[in-house]
Amino acid sequence: MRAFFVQLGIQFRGDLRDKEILMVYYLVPLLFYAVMGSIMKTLEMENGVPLNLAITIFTLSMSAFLGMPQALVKARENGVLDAYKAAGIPAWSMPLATIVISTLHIMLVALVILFSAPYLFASALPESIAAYLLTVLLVALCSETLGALLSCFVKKQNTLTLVSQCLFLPTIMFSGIMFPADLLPKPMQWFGEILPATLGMRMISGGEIVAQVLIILCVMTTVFFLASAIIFKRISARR
Amino acid sequence: MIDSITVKNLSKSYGEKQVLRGVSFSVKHGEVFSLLGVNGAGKTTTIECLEGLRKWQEGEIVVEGISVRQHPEKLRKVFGVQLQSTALSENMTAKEAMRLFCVWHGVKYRGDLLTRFDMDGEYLNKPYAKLSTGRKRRLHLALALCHNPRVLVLDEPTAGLDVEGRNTLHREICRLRDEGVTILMATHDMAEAEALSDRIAILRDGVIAREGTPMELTAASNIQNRVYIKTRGGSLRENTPEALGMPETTMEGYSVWKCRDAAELLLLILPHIKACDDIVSDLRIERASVEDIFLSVAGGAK
Repeated sequence: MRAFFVQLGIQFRGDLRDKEILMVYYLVPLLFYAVMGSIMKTLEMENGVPLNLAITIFTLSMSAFLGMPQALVKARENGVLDAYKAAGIPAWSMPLATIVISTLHIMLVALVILFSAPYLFASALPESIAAYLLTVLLVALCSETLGALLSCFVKKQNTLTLVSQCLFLPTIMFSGIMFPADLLPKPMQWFGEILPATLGMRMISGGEIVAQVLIILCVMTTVFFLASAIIFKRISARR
Repeated sequence: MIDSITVKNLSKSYGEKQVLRGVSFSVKHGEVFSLLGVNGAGKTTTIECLEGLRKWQEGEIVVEGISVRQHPEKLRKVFGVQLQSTALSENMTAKEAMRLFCVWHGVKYRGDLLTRFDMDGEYLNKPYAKLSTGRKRRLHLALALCHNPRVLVLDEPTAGLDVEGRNTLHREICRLRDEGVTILMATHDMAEAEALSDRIAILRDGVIAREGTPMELTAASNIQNRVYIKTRGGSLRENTPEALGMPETTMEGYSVWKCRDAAELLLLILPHIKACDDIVSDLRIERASVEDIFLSVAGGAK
């Protein structure tokens, strides 16, 4: 357990030295936040989605589908799994550590957006900050585990760049953060229903935890993580 | 000496392609053992099977009395593995890598190893991606030693290094051998294998084609030695002992003979020079090297 926490600390510090990670997790989302914030009044009136939630969902989707899987595939390509195996460390600890650290980055950005939005863009704070943060955490974990699962099926980083768009773009388009999902054709709405971001949006819309959605998100997170852990173990053992 | 590593009839295939066909060898305690072979001969596969990184179909590997197949977890304590040069996160510093490996192996932080491999000072907090190839190799070696392993496995330890980096690593390998660490090394570098190894095995088409000490390998070969002799009076240019015949060639004042047994040739030639009232001004014997043996064995594969 101690080894895992040491690994988390090292990985977090390493991430902060990585320009690509800083760009995907911090720079682009915060830039997007600044741009969207300047036109937020219009968007909020038309869409009814609070700015902080919309930007946070964008941030976590970007990191979960565009940033984190790339890091896992790159590490696998470079033989980092061999280092784990040679030291007798279970292969699943690699995606687990990456998911935890990635979620930590997301939560930091979410906090920055949450508490700065009222001052910078006159955006209202959620009724329950705890419920809001729990929702963001769950959606982040669910999206990150889905991203980890995606990384198991793609061997090359170049291919992943294309494949990951299949999750990122629908999340942005169908979850209702850009425009109301009601405006979309029915099949797209149905597809949107199974995305973690849509579930999170629904859960937070009432300002309280919806038990049913909470359970679905938890089950999805568990299934995605277990599947990716098993596949990572198999990849490590297959050679 | 007792065997530290025993590999028996190791066979491994990737799909249809059989890479190892019954490889067998043993490495004694405190010995440096080199595996030589052309690309695709099966060196890295053998090493990776030994490290427990790859599964194999047939055969048995025992390291320090531990079966690699049955108890891979016990192996971690006795084995030090030098990883490939990309197997660390690019943003990790040498200090962080050492800390992580020490925690993984359940030992205290080994800053002394970083100092020993000249990875302290400016290199300590430099991200891995910014280290030179030589520094990366040193770091990997330091990491492999963090838990004081009894067996060290090195795959191409000096590939891509400059002369200075190569010499430094060679010194460290010798030092580790002197400390009693068993070292198994796969290398392309013949001179390195000859200089460092107690014994060498040449892999060809997934089997051990030759095995022995560098001396045994060169002595048992059919490759002839070359003897270069230069005399002050040039007596060898004019006449030579009948039993010997004329030199194969002369170059820069040297008469050159090719022979299996240089001592036998000298026993014939030195009395002749003396009888001619001449003096040897230079004598050189160019023995068959491990590289010559390797090329003859690898050539046989073609």
